[in-house]
Amino acid sequence: MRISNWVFQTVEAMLIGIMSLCGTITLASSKLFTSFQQSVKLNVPGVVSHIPLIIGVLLFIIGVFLIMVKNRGRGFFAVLVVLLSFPCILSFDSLDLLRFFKLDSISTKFTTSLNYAEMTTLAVVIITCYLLINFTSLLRKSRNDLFKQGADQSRTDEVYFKSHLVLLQMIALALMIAAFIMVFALGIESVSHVELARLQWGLFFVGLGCVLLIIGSIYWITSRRKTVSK
Amino acid sequence: MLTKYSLKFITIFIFSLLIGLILGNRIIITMSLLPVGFILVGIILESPSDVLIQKTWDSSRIWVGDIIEIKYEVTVNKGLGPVFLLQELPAHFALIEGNNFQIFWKGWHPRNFTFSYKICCTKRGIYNFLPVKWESNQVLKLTQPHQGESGEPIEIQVHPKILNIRRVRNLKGISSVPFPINDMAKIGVATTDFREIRNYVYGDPIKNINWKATARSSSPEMWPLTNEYEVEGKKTVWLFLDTAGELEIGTNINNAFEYCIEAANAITYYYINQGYRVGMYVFNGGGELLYPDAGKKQFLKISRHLLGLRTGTRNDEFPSAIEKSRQYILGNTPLCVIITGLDSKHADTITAGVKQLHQMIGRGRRRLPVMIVNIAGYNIMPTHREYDENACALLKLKTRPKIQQLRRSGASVLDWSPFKESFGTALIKQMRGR
Repeated sequence: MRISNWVFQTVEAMLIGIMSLCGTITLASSKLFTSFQQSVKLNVPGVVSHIPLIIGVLLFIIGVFLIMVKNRGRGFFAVLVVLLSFPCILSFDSLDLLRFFKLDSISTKFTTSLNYAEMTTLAVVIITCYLLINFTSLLRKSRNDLFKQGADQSRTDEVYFKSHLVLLQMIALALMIAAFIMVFALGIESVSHVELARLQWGLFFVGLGCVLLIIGSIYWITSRRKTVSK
Repeated sequence: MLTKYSLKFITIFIFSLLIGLILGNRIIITMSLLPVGFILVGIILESPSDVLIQKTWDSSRIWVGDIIEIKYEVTVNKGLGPVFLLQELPAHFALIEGNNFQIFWKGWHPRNFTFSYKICCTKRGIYNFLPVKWESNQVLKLTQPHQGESGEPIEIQVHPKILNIRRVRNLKGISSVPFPINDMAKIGVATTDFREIRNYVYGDPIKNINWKATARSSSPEMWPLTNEYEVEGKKTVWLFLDTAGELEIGTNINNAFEYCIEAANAITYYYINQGYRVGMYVFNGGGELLYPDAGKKQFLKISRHLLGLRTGTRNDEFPSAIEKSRQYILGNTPLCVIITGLDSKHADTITAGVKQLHQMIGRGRRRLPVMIVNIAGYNIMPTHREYDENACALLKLKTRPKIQQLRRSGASVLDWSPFKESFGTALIKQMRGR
């Protein structure tokens, strides 16, 4: 089995494109962006309808340049996309901290036309694409390093094809775990609704429990492996 | 042990989870749970371990230029992910076919994997094949890789080529080397092979007197006749091998020194096969002496010694080499074979040494037979330009007077250009037509 380099590059370009698209959609659906558009409309009327497209293309170019050309800055690109989505994401806060700090004027800007399910889907897609890009680039880099060391191409490609399959399986499992934790947390919340409803920080306690559970399980797995290897 | 990638994801997870919790934002919490779910799955998937490697090859005698195939059988019992194997090849081994660096995928079930490659031994010596190094990575490098070595280290001996030396049966001529093939030693343990009847001399054993022949003798004086038997073994050949650093003209693999060793090995093999006793002195490298002896054991001893020979930095040692071998030369009257390169600035010491050898035993036709094998270094380096060829010709002209001087002094000089002719051809050239 032989995989050409362009296959990896096409996949990466597609993932960068999806991330850019998600970032642009979320940004365009935020009230903050709408108010920005209105201010631009007053000064440069013809450009307004193209602003999301310009931002999307710009984002895509930055992503391609950083990840595919420079082979670094994957984290930076992901942060950029998340920052664009932030005005929308913040509109789903249970605790309106901005209003709490008497910043009502800003608080009203952080609203979106997207509903919760749409926003969650876009956020999950962004993170999933980030994970895929990160590990696809990592695998591509180690594959090229192996070729430089003189490894057999077809055998290396077979290994990296299977590695990608495992990557997809792992992401699917990670999604299932995340979904399970969220459903489990929401289930607990609804069961103990009466008690937790009295507390404004109910979600915080549920989340804290989850964090401790996850950290504990990571610690347990790694410490057990250390003992076995010793 | 987690890698920096895993730690990066855990950091992202904790940071974004804290933000999500502080803001009470379910979307951020969901986003942060993804990396942690990923890490959890990654940690559960263990990298391959329990790697067993078996190495097989044809372990018969290996000569320079031989191509050997090495086969590996690899078994991996645990884990999931890629496994890398590396067999480091010792210096002077060329990979002909296949690859000594392998990568393969270990799935969910235990896997057997075989691979092989062919290597060519380009230089004589004793080489160590270290155990195969293996490394297994977790599929996405979320945990530290497992590393190890498997299999036993193997020592292999690559012997110098035995150059083709044959007896030319149908060509009548006179050998310039005064050492006929059936020349027997005069001293040694007597065998039961009858040689001749001769007059009794004092000291002959009484049991050797042939009484019947004495009685039949028509001689007026009654003097006993004795049987003479062949003595065990033939004459001795004494090799002087030059290991001067100047002989390393050429590449690391093809140089005059390597050809000197091949010539020494070939001469030893030839004379040992003919039943001669062969001894050796290695000069210009500190001086090493191998006592003369006959038989296959002696050939193996010399051959093994040649395997580990390196060039030395000392020079002007040939006269002292003769002094150190003096007792063996005087005791055996051997054929002295000097293997050297006469195109170096130390060639004069060889001339002086040959004179010393001639002064040591005999006069005129009975003096010590000496043969010099001159490995011409100037033909070993490939010539790229006309100037290179001219330089070679000049060097050859420069060496010629030395060769003529040696020939005049009674030594037989075998001028061998390894790239132009075989050793056998060079030997035949020494023969004069009758």
